[in-house]
Amino acid sequence: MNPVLISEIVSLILQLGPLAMELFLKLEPMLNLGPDEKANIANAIAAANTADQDTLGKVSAWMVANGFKATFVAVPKA
Amino acid sequence: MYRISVRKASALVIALLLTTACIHKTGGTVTPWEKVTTYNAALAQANNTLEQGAESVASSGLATPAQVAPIISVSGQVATLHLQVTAIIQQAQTTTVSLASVQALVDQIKASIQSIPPTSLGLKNPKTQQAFSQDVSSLSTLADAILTSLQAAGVK
Repeated sequence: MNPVLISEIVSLILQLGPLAMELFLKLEPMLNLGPDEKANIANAIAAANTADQDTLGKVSAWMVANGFKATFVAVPKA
Repeated sequence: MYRISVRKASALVIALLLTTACIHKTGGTVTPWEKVTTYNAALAQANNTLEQGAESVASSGLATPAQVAPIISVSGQVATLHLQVTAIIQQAQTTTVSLASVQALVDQIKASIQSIPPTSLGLKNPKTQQAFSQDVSSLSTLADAILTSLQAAGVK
């Protein structure tokens, strides 16, 4: 990896704290692929679905807990 | 504090992902489809982190629930739309899919992100609003990266 890029990433992590560290730790394994293309693709698709389902669960829980209606109506194409 | 975090988190994602050298593969070259699915997974993860950040801001008292609710709601919209993008990408492994079907969903994701009002976190300063717009732009750039990599993978 480019040393300048590493430096920038480390700098951003230091400035951002736990949130950035968490994001980095989740993204970093995604960027280091194994030799099997099919496995890499399957893993990435599973990771995307898991993250989206987790997001939806957290959003619903937060909305309900804070008295908001949890609706996820897509914004129409502009 | 949160607005700075969102901006720099976006910068981190972009720095990590939009540099081709940062995707490594043991014993081979990263294929176009590996790139597509990696960008796709990263968008889901970045959106998840955005939601977590918004919740943290509210729980820490830096903003009220009403102020962060639009962001959390949009995060839910993005996740809903993005599940459909992932389903299409998965189908593309075995059948022919059209780029237009993904383009339509990506456009909706970008519209959802851009629907977040700049004042939702009390951003009254024009410069800060501009910075927030740049955050939105960064996330939209990541969505565009999925489309670009799909085209590179031969999806028309």
